[in-house]
Amino acid sequence: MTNPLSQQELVQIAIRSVPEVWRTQLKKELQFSPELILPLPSPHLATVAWTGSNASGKMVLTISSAGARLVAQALLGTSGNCITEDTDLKDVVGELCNMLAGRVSTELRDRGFTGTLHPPVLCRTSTTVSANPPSPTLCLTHWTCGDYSFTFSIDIHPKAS
Amino acid sequence: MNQKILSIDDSKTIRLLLARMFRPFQVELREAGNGEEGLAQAKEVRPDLIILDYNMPVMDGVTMLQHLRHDPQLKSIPVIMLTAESNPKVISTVARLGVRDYVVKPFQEQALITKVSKVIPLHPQGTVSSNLPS
Repeated sequence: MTNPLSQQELVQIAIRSVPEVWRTQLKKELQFSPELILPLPSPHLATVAWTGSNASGKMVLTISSAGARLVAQALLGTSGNCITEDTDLKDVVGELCNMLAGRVSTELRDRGFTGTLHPPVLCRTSTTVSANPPSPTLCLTHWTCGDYSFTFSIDIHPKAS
Repeated sequence: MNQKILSIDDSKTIRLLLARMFRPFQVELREAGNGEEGLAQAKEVRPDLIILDYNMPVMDGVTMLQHLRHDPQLKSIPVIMLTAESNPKVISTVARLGVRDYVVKPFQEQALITKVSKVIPLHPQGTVSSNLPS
């Protein structure tokens, strides 16, 4: 079975979707980096699964704690000061991943892949995100916004029959 | 008298965001983290408007909306959906359940305020609001 979308198509979807979410919700501009500029030690990681009739997959946002705090401040203004606990930072990252996944889901629907989103799954990871893993169905993009970097990946593959 | 808005979203981030957005207005904002809590709050508070997420644990937004519409005391409360889900099936289901508007995340804050103001009057803080004819 062939992949529903090529890696290049997924990269283009990410390049359209990620800056739009930052611009709309955070009023911030992003820079796309072909390769990760800085490693992200022990980052927050949010995963949103997507299930369609003929394909399924997931979107993953990975960002440092410092980056998540800056995102919270941009999103919530002074209310961002309420975001102090690790669980609250996870929630910020999860909601942002949810918005990114929603934007990507709209792009997938425009290409004939209608699906539904699942609630974000949140965790901290000890791994350092540093390289694009070799997978034909996965696109990993790296981004910089002022003082922080993050990664966003889209992995869409055909459903096993 | 303050308008009462009930925000039902499992994300504290969204609930804080809405609290910040409606702070300049004479609005009493109540919160719930899922549909079940939202129903209980709706019975207690009788809000003027509910802003409802779709994807939530325990009870999702569509199920909550179905319960709401079957309750004679609550069925007329206007609801605006605020969700990342843009699946046409979900949109047509909630449209049949009579939601007043459907806002997809990410969203322009001013656009949501405008949509809310079409459902309930939003008076800036510090102004005198009255329902009496002038």
